[in-house]
Amino acid sequence: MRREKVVLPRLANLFLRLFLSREDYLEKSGDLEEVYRSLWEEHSRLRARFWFCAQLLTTLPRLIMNSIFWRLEMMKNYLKIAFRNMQRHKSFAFINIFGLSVGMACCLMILLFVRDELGFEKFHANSSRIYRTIVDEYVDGKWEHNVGSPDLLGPALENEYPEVISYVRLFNPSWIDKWSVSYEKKYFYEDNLFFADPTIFKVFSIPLILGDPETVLMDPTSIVITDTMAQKYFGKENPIGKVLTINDAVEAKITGVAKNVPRNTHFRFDFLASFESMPFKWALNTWRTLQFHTYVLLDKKYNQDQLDKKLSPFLEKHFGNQTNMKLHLQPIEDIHLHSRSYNQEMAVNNSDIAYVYIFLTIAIFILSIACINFMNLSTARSANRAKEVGVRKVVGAIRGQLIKQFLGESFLFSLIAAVFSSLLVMLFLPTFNTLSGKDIVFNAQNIVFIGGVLACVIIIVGILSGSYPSLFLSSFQPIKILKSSLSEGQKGFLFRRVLVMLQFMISVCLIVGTFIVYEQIGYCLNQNLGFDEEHVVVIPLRSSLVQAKYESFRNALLQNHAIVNVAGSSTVPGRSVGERGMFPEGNKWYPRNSVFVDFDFIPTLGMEIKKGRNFSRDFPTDVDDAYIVNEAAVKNFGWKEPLGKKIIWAGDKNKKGFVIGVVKDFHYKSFHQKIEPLVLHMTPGIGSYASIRTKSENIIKTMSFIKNKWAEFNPGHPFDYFFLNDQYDKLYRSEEKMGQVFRYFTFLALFISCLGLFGLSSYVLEQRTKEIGIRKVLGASVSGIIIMLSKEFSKCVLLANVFGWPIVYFLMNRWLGNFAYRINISFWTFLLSALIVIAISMLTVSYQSIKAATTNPVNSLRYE
Amino acid sequence: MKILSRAEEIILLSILKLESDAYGVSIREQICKDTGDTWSFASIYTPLDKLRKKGFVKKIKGNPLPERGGKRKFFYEVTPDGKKALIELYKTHRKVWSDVPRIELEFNGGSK
Repeated sequence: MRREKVVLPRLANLFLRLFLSREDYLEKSGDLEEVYRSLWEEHSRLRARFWFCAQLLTTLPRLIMNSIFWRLEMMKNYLKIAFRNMQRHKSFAFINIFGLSVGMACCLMILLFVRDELGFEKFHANSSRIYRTIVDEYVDGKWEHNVGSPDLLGPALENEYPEVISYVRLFNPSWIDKWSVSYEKKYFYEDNLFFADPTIFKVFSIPLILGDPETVLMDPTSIVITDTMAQKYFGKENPIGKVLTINDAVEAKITGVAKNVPRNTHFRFDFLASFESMPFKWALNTWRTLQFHTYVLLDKKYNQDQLDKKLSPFLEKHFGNQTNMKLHLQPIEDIHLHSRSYNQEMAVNNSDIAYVYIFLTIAIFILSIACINFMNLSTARSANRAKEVGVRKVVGAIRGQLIKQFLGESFLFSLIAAVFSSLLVMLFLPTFNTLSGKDIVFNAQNIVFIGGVLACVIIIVGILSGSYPSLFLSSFQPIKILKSSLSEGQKGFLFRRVLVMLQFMISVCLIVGTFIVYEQIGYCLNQNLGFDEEHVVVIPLRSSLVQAKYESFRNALLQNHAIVNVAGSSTVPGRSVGERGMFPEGNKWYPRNSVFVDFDFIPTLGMEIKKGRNFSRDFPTDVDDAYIVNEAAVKNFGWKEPLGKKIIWAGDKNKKGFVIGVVKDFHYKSFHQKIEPLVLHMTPGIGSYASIRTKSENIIKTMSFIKNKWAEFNPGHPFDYFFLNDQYDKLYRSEEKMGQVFRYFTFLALFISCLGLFGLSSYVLEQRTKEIGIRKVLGASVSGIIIMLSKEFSKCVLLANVFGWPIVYFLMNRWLGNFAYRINISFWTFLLSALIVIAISMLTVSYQSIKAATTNPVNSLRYE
Repeated sequence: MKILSRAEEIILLSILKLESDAYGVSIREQICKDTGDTWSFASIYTPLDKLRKKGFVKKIKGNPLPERGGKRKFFYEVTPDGKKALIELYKTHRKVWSDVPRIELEFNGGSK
């Protein structure tokens, strides 16, 4: 005997194992193996294998006959029955398929949305190793996170930690609204201009169309622009070598053209200028201001946790011994969903992981509502199928076969629904995109994703919605069914009720949620902000040339009687506020919110002076050493008597000054944040914004006057303006968007629930036709019957409210926790939504019940 | 009485001939020897299965053997019912054959 190990051909053996029962497998493969071995030993391995496979092939015809053909035959029968049932009960089939496909379509769109949300920054080759530095500060009992960092941080990190391979600093602080960029005296205003270290191409993956990533930003006067910008400024001309002027101060030569930035990133640039050409030199070489965004690239061997732990001595060394400060790294992939309340965030499109969860929950809710419809309708209609089950059982069907049949039916339904749902997604994706502010397209990746999701959804829905009906229907005893004609439909009644209740509970939750979201947004928009935001036109002054002409421009505007006042400031409420390191008397160095204003800022915007006085032209010293703080600052700095307190200001040779007044707290940020300490500092003539208070009448004429004056004073500069109150609306755009999406899905959920209720009620009433006939003969009134019929369902809906309320209260309370200023959830919201749900469900049921109650008893008694 | 098919008849007979050593491989070898034809395993398993369902043969578990890759043998044994069926069949055969005129058979070379 050869020592070689003899094995059966693996694939063939697997084939046997799959198609034979255990005992058969042992016998047959044993027999085969015996001959196989002897063939191997006597002849050759090849010959044995050949023989083995030939043996298997001869079994094939019979195998197909046995296992597949007969199954197919049954399958054909099942399919036939399923389609016949669909045809006979068209409304039932329609409700199921329509409900399911709407549910699946919602699910698909939401999953596409979530996928997009989770895929941010992934396109960077090193995305898992890029981190952003965050400075944490302990304020008022909680940690606040600052995205901004000092310019010295990046180089220090690289020098002191071997883990840090490279760093890049970006400068485009949020207090700069837009940059003015000009080419040969043609001006544009640009948002996304960053001053960046040349290492940016090492840290991020930014493909260049023209230029060498190693050298493009090396030269201190160089700039890289995106493809779109190249076309905007130069059309078809070659942009390389052209010189752009930024803010009329910095000249930069174009050395490279980058591909357009993908949409799924927080860092969206149009211009990357050399770091060294950054014009705000006061922000450099200090640890005291947080004006930059620093990103580091870590070595593969190290992870963030290890480095985070080592950062506290680093902090102590450079920031001084500060117990209320921390430094940590944030993975770049987390930025989109996990930095909602971070200060100085540069991304405008950041979302929140909470929304991802909320949307996922909604998707599951809507899909389960549709599944419940299917379950309810198929069990309610069980009486119709009961006879079939009985006959099948008598003919010899075992329970397993019946379970398979009904499961198969639900799979068929979900398959059909899946086809429709993908059509729905194609149809409504553009609408969904505008709603959610996404730009999801049908590319190959997404189609594969949709296919995969649909396959999963078909299986889940098939099993979920088919399990109960199939177990329920297959459990019928043939004798009982065949003897008595009806009454099996009453079985499972309680279960159906619970399911209906569940559906409406979900609907109630969504409705209450929608109401509360809208109430909160309304509250934010209508609340007194602490100043008068109506009728204020704001013009950003974006270049030093324009700023230089501010005073004369202002005087020209004041000639018009419709213009009440004009003020200049470094920012306006609702736009982001810059931070400056400062040292208030009796406190410590730390960056605080600060705004440069002029004499007219407070009167123009209608803020109230609580103590002391406003900046005044009568006090020439105000220009140099006067500050006004808000009430929050007084509290925060721990001052009892604020007037006359000293504040030292970082930069500008650490200028000193004294507090001359206290302004009443006003909301200069969104309602998400508490009003923070704010220091107003007097600097006439260098404001970035001109706020113009106009009289309410004849606003169009006033606007055209302002526009003419602008053109007169600043030829070549585009006239760009906004109304101050619009600026506030923008702060809640993400909430509004969520509210909108919420509203649509709520509507869909309610719609699908009602669809199911409609089907269920029509079925139940059909069964009670005789009962109603008899009641009427005995003298029941139409209204009495309607009430009787509606009672059943209204009980479910009422219970749904009772159970839904605490859940939604808990969830919405948490959502409102995002806001520092929030509404209290009122009982009336709940009552109103309950009324809506009850009214809608009653309406759904009443159509059927009125029909049943008003039919002539003669007809209903003759029924069957 | 159920009439046995040709294959079933041959298989039953070879099981009887093999006495206590009738299992898949040996049955197949026996049949191949007797008929001078190659039979695939598939063509004997199916009739065997039918015979078992009709109650004409019995399956007996043997011991696992190394030359079968550690799988056990399954021996077959003809049941009394099976024997009865064979006798029945033999009788029918004889009856059917006896009426055929001798000339016809001689023309075909007299092979029985």
